[in-house]
Amino acid sequence: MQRPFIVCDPEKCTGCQMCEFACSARHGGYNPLASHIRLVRIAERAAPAHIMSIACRLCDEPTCMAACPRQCISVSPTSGIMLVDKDVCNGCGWCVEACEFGAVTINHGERIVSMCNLCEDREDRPRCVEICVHNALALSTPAEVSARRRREIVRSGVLPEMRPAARDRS
Amino acid sequence: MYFERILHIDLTQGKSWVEPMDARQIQPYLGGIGLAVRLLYDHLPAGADPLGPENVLVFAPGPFAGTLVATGGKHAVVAKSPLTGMIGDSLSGSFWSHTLRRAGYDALVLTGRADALSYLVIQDDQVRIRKAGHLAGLDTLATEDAVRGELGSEEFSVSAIGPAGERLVCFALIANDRGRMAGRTGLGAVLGSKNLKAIAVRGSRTIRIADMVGLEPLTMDLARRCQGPMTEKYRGLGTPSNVLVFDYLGTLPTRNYRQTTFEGAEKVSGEALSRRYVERVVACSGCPVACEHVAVVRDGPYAGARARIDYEPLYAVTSLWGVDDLRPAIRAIELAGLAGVDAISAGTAVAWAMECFERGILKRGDFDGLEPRFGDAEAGLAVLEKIVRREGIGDLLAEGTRRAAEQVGGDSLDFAMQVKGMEMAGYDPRGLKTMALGYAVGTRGACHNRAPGYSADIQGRVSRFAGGPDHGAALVDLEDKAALLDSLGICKFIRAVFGDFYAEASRLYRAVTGLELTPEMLALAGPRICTLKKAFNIREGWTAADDRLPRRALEDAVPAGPNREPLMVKETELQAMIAGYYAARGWTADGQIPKSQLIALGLEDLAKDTGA
Repeated sequence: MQRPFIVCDPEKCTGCQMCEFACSARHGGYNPLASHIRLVRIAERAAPAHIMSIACRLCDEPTCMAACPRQCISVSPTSGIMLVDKDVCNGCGWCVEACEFGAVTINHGERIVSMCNLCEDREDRPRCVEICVHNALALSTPAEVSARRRREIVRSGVLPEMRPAARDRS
Repeated sequence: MYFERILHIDLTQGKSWVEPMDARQIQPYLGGIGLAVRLLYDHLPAGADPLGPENVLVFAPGPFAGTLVATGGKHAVVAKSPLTGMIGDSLSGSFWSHTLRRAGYDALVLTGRADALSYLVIQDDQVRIRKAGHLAGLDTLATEDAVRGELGSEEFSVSAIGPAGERLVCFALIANDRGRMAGRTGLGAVLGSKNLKAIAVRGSRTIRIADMVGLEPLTMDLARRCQGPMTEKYRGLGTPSNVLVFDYLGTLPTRNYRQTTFEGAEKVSGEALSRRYVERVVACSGCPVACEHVAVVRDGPYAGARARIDYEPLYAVTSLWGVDDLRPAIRAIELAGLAGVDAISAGTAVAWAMECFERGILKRGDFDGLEPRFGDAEAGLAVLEKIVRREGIGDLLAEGTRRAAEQVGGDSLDFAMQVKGMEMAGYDPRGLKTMALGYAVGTRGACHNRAPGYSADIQGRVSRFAGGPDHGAALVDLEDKAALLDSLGICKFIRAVFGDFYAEASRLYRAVTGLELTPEMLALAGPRICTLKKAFNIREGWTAADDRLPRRALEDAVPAGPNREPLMVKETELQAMIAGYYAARGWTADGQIPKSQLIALGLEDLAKDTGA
């Protein structure tokens, strides 16, 4: 199944953290620690080198769901988002460890699991996508992501077989 | 928003406490620079030694820190400056500012001195002072990493000094969040003098503002406008685009201000930097603009050098040294950031030393065998390394160009390009007369950020070639606007994005704080904050004789382009501008603040100190 989720283009992401501010404002107030999308900035020497934001990727076979000892995570049959039964979750954190993308966090206020719900309750686009003025974030499917990548790589002309110089050398 | 809480830490006693401060007391100073200067004024004993335990170091985020208001995450760092002996106020920004706000404070006031090298950990209500002997000598980045590693959480944001701050280099800086810096006036030395290597902050409070529904569309609209033409310069080539513009205008300081155009400008331009070296563009936390142009050197002797490049550090290690190669320049800017010195002041000190060497005032022996001539990047870098280590001649240069010249003697003070002890920024005063005035009267010395006169010159609001009384009012207007932005904690790079700034700032402020701040109140806050800084200087012994320019700006003429008389700042011209400025401020002819002015600005309590 190809479900849309929040994808981030690291080439466009400036690491501005506005997605975290905007997301957290949807549940209580500004607090990046409570955001469902989280920014990663990794530096090399004197300046950031790797930057992107990560949110739940709506896995087909979610490891978070499999890891939960209380079976409180389920997949929404309509949108594919992870549904957390807040009455059952006790914030044990097994799902946090299980997620390969680091996309699961424990909400520091309620001490239960929180994950991206694609702003289901919002009429407009997800708030993080809306606030991302550099268009690094998009609500997209894996098929759309790979199609975009193909177009970008062809347009850039960086593939070795597209470079005349490379052909000459071989 | 305000938490109405000021965190005080006495490092001598190892004690911390929170003092309440009513939002109505904070509001006249807004936050950031304004609030920090007021707290400094109230807590610093007059005449204190800037590097003694009695100096007070204040950190304050602006009222928008912690929210989504575009670029609202700037914080002020303020103390009595070891470089000037007057007000030392610097700005940085990004994660640290937002984090300090989320820890629940409007400001942090540091007094005293720790008995051994230490670092401070602020985690919401918990304040700890930890030993940092093992961090001695680490550069700013390694310090950030080590502190975060020890605390075991990436959620700490760290402000730190490098080895230069530990060694009390008088223009040492305080760095935070990998590449942001409170750069000017030597506040890194003040932190070093307090035996503090770093301040780590983790804040987990949720910022609940007065009117979330009202603020969201305002922030969205502002973020979108930040993508418009008014920020194109910063997003595109970044501030290094100034190099070619200033070369064309004849205002690019070259070879320690001997010249104002540089034959190698093309090679060190923003265009060349962007084409060959810029790897990516990064933003501060909460900023939709993204102006940080990260440059990387890939080959040659400086391969691996990596630094964020802005115009002022760039000119200070290229044209100012007569160097036309970007590779050593990127390395020099990286070195300044890692060792923790203001690249503008350090670059100017090196350029001054080069001129002293070329004139024979300083000799090969003074430089331990180095021959630092203009154009020699390698020698320039070697002198810079001596400064950050306070080694040999570096120990003298680390005192700042003014004190170094006073010691070296000869006519070297004439070409020490500083005012009140702080080195000029990259705007030659001879072809920018409002800037010349700003340098002369600026409360923190020769500064382009607090007294940004160049913008009136370049936009043609007044003549940039001929100064007169009208330049005074033009500068007052720019200083007041800068004080507002610096105190609201908004980045100057979006200053032109606002239509009616007063009205817009007023709406944002009301939505965030719930407090009324009318455009009329804002119009008084700018002059109030500028006057407060001036009053601070008066209390520290300022006289009109301090509002001056180095002799080179007054007597060494530079070409002004075809069909124009060579340019300098004539003494009569400078005096006319200064008189116009004092008058526009409502001050006396000798620059003192009359009591009526203090009363009009709500600063009557300062009258006892200003002699008014």
